[in-house]
Formats: sequence, structure tokens, C-alpha cells
Amino acid sequence: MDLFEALKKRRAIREFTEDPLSDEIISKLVYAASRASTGNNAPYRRILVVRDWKTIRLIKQLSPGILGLPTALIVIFTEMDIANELGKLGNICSTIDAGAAAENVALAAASMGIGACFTRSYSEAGVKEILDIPDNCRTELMLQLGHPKREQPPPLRPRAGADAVYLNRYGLRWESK
Amino acid sequence: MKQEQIEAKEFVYDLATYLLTSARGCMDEPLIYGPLRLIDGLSRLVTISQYAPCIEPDEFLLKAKKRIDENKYVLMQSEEQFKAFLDSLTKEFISELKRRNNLE
Repeated sequence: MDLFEALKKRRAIREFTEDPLSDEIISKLVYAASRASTGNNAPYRRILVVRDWKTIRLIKQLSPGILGLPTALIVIFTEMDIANELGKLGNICSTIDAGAAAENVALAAASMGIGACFTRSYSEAGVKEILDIPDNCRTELMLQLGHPKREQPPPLRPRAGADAVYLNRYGLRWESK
Repeated sequence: MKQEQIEAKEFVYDLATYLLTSARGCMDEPLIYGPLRLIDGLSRLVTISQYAPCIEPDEFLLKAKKRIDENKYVLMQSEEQFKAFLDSLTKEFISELKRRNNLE
């Protein structure tokens, strides 16, 4: 699928079927995540794939933001010791870079007809405990993944003022052609 | 992978951990997530009849759950619409309570 087609199709999917994602699909999603850059090319980003049903269920129990039942999760987190070597910028960049990796995953998922949804509403302490993520790491976000159920809530319309685009100066609206 | 049916005891744990982690989350998340968690909690609570044989399924509550599940995402689009939805659901509950108490 063309990138712009995937951009158009991309939306948050929260309801999934029970069919697991294949190894091939998971590999492509992980590849997409790893293609995102990091500030200063620093090796602080970590990607953890969860496919074990019982573990996913346990994480769902600690995640008010997971409303359906995904068949896979991708948790993106940062090794803070490495990020902090870049000072305050490393702290900020690592979160930005996690978002970039997550968006790559979401777009790759959309291009394959796979459902994806960002989640930040989870118990960080709980998720770290379940997944044995060390204390010096900060979880950034989690992606819920799976084959989308046919029935989905209608997509949300952007709120007024979202993505205001300007040209040359703040307040001078960009007119899309 | 076949997803297992959850049992009654697990239902209680699901709800308990949902409430617990929602409470913690509400301390860091946008204020409006509080109402969302409460209404989602109501939706979850209604399914209790599936796990506790002593509680008969209630048609009104099941319909309310369906309405909640269809409307809870409205919050991310418009707080006003979400508020209106909660008010209209409250009115439906009042009508049902009146009916159940022969106060119509």
C-alpha cells in the first residue's frame, strides 16, 4: 500500500478479533519501529513485543486504556541512563523518538490492514513488574495490535483547531492546494 | 491462541484492578478521563450477570451498557457531547428507577 493511502487509513483501532498476528506481520511491525531515528543516534530506545495471551491479559488488567483485547502489544521504553547522557535534550528526545517508532508501527499496521492503537493509560509500575523491565527504564507508550473486528466505533473527527498550519509566520494560515 | 472465557472470580479481579489502576492513572491523566473511567467501569460492572448466576441479566442495564460502549469515545471529540450523553443516560436511569418503584 502507498504511504499516503496508509496515512489516510490510519486510525485508532481498539477492538480486535481473537486471530493472532503472524510472525511475518510482527516482524514487519518491529522493523517499522526500528526504522525510526533517535536523537544523536543514541541507542536508548527499547522495543518489547508481547504475544503471550496470559501476559497480555495481565497487562490489560492493569491498563484502563486497553478497552478491547489485543493479540499483541509492542511496548516502547527508554534506557534512561543512556538518554540522560544527552542531558535534558535526551530526556525529551527519547519520548519523541518513541512516538516516532510507534507511528511507524501504526502506519505499517494500517498498510497491512492490522489494527493499532497507542496507549499511555496503564500502570507503569505494574507493566514494568510484569515484563521485568529494569528500574532505570521509562516506559513511553504501548501499542495495542491485532486483526480489527468488523464492528468498530466510528472514527473521531479532529477537534476544531487541531493541526492548525501556518505559513512563514504564526497566524498566517497555510492554504492547502 | 484461544482466548479463555473469564470466570467469576477473575471478573472481580478485572474490575478491582481496573478501578485501582484508574485511580492511579487519574492522578496524572487529563481530568476528563475520570468520568470516562467511571462510565467505562459501569459498562464493565453490568456484565456481572454473566459470571454470577444469582444476578439475573437486566435488559435495561444491558441496553445502557450498549449505549455506553457506543458513546464513550465521544469524549475524545467533544466534552459537551459527552456531558449531554451522560445527562441523557441519567434521565433514562431515572425513568427506569421510577418504573421499578411504581412511581410513573
